[in-house]
Amino acid sequence: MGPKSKSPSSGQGSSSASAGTPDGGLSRETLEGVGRRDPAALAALFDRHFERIYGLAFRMMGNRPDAEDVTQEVFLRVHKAAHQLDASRRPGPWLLAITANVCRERFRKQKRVIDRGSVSLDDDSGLSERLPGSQQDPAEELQQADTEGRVQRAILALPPDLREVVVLHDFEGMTHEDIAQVVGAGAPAVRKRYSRALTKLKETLLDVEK
Amino acid sequence: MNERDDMDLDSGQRKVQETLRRVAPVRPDPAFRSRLREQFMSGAIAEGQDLPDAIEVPTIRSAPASRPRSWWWTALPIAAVLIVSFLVADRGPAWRLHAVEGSGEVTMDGTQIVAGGDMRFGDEVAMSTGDDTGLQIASEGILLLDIAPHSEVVLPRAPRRLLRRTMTARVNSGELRVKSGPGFSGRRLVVETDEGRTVMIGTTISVYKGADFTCVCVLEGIARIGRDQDHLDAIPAGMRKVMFADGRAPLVTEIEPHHKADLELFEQSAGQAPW
Repeated sequence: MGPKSKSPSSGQGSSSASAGTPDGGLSRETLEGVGRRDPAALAALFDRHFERIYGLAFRMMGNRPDAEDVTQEVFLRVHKAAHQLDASRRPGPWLLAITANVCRERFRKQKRVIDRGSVSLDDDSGLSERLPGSQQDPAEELQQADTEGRVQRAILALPPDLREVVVLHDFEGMTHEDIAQVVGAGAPAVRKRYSRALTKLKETLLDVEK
Repeated sequence: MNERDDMDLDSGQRKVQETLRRVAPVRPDPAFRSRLREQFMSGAIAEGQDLPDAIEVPTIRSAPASRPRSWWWTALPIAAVLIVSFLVADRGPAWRLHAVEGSGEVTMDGTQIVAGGDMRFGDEVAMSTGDDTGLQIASEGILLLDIAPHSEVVLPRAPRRLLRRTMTARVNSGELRVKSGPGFSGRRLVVETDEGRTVMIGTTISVYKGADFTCVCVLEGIARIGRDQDHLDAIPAGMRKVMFADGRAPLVTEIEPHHKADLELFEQSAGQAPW
C-alpha cells in the first residue's frame, strides 16, 4: 500500500481512528481471536494488513514473485506464531518487523545480489499493474510509468538497511520511532539511515532529471 | 507520520521525498490475495510446513520510558545535595560560651545548670542568670552578648551566612549588652522588650529592662530605637532612650555615668580576649 491510499488509521502512529483499539480498527477481542486462530479473526487481521505487508515485500524485493513468496512466508509465520501475539498492542509493527526479517533472510539465503541496473518495466509485471487505469491519458500513463520505474530502480539500488527505512517511512507512512521498533535500531540511527538513503536517491533520481 | 522526522532534510532530499510519495500504491494480484486469505483463515497455509509451533518472531520493544521520569530520578538527588550543601554553607558560627562571672548558675530553657566550656546553645534558647552570675556568649567575630546577673534573656538564633541575616533577641528582665564584631557587617540584630525594640546595625549597646520601662544605652555607633517598627528613632553614641510601659512619651537623654562605666568595662573585656 502506498502513501496515496494509506489511511491514517492503518495501524501505525496515533490517530483518532485508532482510539480504543490497539490496531485502529481491530478490537482487542479480535486480536485475542487471532491468538486462538479463530478464522474470522484471522480474516480480519489479513484484510487489515495484507496490502501493507505485500507493499513492503514488493518494494524490498523488487518483483512480484519474490514479493508473493515473502508475503506467503509472513502469513505462514503469523499463523504459526499467532499465540505469541500480544493482544494489548498494535500488531502492525510486529507484522512489518516479520516482513522485514523475512526479506533480510531471503537476501542472505539466496546470496543473490539484485541486479540493480536491470530492473525495468518489462521485467516487472507488478509495476505494470500499479499503473492507473484506462481513464488516464496514454502520454501521462507513460510518463507515470517511467517515473515509477525510475523510483523503483533507485530504491532497489539502495542497500537493504537503507531501503527498508525509506519504504517504511515514505510508502508505509511510519514514524522513525515506529521504524526503530520494526528494524531493531534506535530512532537516531533510523533518522541517519533515512537521510543517507534520500541523499543516495537524490543522486540517482535528480541527476537523471538533469 | 511525524513532521519532526523530516525537519532536517535539505531541499534536494525533500524533492526526492515528494517524488517517492507520488508513486502509486502496489496492487497485488487479486487471485494471489484471495488464495492466501483462504489458506490463512483455514489454516491450510501451515499444512505440510515443517515449522515448530513457536517460531522465532521479532519482539517489538516498548517505547523507552518517558524522559521526564529519568530526568526526575537524576534531578532529585542533585537537588537534595544542593539543598543540603546550601544549608551547610549558610550555617554561621554557633553560639559558644566566652566568659563566666560568678558561680555560673544559670537556667537554660527551664533547666538549671552550671555554665561551663562544654555548653551548647540552641537557637532562641531562654537563659536566666543567677544573682551572682554573668555570662558572655559569642558567635565568632560576629556578636558578643553579655548577660548581666539576675537577667532573663532569649538568645537570638545563631547567625547565618547567606539568608535570614536578621536575628532577634529578647530581654524579659535585667540587662543585655551587645557588641558587634567585624563579621556582623550586613546583618542586623533586633532586641525586643515589652516596651519596644532596638535595631542594631553595628554598635555597642546595652538594653536594660526594668519593671515598667526599658532603657537602651548606645556607647558606639547608632541604634534605632522605638516602641515598634514605625516609631524608631536613631539614637547616637553617648545617648540613651527610655521607653515606658504606661505609654508616657519616651525619653532621650545622655547615658547615665554608671551605665556608661559598665558599658566601657564590657568594651574592655571584649578587647582582652578574641571572640
